[in-house]
Amino acid sequence: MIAPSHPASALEARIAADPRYVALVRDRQRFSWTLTAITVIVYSSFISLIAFDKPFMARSIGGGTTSIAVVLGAAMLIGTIAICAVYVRRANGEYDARLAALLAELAA
Amino acid sequence: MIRRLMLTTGLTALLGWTTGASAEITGAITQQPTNWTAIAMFGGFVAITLWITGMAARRTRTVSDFYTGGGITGFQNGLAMAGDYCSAASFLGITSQIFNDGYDGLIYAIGFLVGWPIVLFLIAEKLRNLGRFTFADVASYRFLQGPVRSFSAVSTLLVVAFYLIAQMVGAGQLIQLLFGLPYLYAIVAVGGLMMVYVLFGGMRATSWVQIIKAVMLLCGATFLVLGVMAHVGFSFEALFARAVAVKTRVALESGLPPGEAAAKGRAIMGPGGFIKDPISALSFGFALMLGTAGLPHILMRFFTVPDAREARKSILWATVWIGYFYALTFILGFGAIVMISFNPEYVDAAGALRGGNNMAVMHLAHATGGNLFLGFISAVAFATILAVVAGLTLSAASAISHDIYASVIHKGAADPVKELRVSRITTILLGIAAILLGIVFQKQNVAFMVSLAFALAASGNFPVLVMSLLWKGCTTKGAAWGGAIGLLSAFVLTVLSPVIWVAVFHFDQAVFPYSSPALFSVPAAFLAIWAISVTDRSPRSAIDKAGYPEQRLRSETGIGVHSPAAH
Repeated sequence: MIAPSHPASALEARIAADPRYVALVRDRQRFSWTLTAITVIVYSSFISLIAFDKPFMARSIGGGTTSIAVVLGAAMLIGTIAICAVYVRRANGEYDARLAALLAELAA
Repeated sequence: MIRRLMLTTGLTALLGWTTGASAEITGAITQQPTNWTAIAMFGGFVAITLWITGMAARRTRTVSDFYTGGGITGFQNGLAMAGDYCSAASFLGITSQIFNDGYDGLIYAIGFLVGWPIVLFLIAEKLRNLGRFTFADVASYRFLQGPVRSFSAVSTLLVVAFYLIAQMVGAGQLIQLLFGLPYLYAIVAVGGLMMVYVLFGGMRATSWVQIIKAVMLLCGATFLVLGVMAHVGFSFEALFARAVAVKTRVALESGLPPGEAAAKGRAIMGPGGFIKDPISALSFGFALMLGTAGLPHILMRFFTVPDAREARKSILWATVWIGYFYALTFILGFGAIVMISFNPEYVDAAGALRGGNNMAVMHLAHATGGNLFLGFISAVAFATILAVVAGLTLSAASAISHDIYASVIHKGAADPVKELRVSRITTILLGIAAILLGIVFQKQNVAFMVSLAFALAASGNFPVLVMSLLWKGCTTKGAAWGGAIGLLSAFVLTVLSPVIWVAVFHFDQAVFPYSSPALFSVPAAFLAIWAISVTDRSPRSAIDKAGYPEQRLRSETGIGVHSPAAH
């Protein structure tokens, strides 16, 4: 069972006080909030474009049948996957490596 | 006529499709002749999943086995999340929506996908690092267990109830359409099978039912798309051009002058009537987006993987498969326009789809792969509902047995054998309740229920999780009461909105004019949590705040993480 109030171990105190840990948390948090903001802004813009300028969305691209709306819609699907990939790559790579190195050193 | 209404409401319910009037799925439906191919195919799926349940049952001995399934990889969990999330209604409803109106179906699909990055960026790794079985483990981590877990359990049960009713009613109606069997058979079959999966196989069986279903759905849809693309020479431009030509011809034949007919044909390439009022559109979009991050059955899936690293991978894979699935449905909708619009076998003289307006992808399956493939796709659609309701049932059972019974009543010191028994008894009760609710709501308008479930999850669970994870000033009172205010405002605003006030209660004018409450109820919840926390002077509030540094450290580092396989 999870005990919410048990005292932090000495190791946990050492980690919390380490400037590299503080920097890691700050970097990761800044990165995740930036990506969150991008997601929310891009999605809101997409919905607003549909709500306010339907003729623009229906315009054809390069004189063919394919419209701006279809291309932007496809870009939304691909972009959503891509932004997840960007985060996972960095979090599972750089951030996890920094954390693992720090934990290994402080536990030794 | 009654059946027609039922089907209409059932599919709109599954879709939660309430933003624009044009998105309403309507049309006559005829119960199909009994489709033995589909039933045999579905029988095969049931046989395989029951065999897996049998295997899983032998390995489901502890509460951890029951709630987490003993651990799977991020890739497997991503597939299972996709299986949990892609409903039969997206498959049938979005393709048919595109068949009828073109582009608009894609707007809805995108709304469903954009919640996943939010889950990934804000809560996934912290959730995995702190929790064990349910999201309430995380929401209540540093707080007094009773109030916060009670809130979480109530919220879970509400979200699951509305989601489940919509799925049950939709299942009953789909079965008339796809298998040619009565409503009641479907309700009992769905309720009974989900009970068996969860009761005996717990999370292990549920995960595999969802994984198998996801693979079947993705493979079936991919095969259909290949059929469509082969038909148009593997060119999207050709697909769109032919679809516009077909829609123009349909308009011409309905008696429109050539100029208007051309404009009408062309209209399928751009947004139509789905989004009329921007506030409703944004509100609905945010309900889908933030609701995804608060759905208890989705959040529970994070505890099936060993660590934050695999949790992140789960979401990436889930996003890949769900995004791929929605891209496929878009192509299938246009493919249906091209391939079945003028075939008298699929469309009657008036231009309506035979068997009901949601049959576009079914006819397309028949046009592409004959009776056998039609049977396969029908079986996939039913398997899809089963996978979704199994996940819902498991999360509701966990809320009762883990959050209420073990954590609140027994203060975390419950006998594990008894806890497991409670979760199984709850599963049986939930199965019976689901069947009864499916029967009670058969003829009711349940169109608002899925969007209500998303709005509740976005306004209750999501703010509580975010504030407890990220704000050190959050207190027990703030989380429990603020979350309750979010839930209540989402519920009340939905009742006062057109989807219930006008569509269900038949008042002329809605009190709350927008179709989704999220744009108002989510900020209300955050504000309430903040205001109640900062004014909280109780002795407990000091303990809540003092617990933050340790919670934060553990959520960031994964120290003390409970691995599903660690026993």
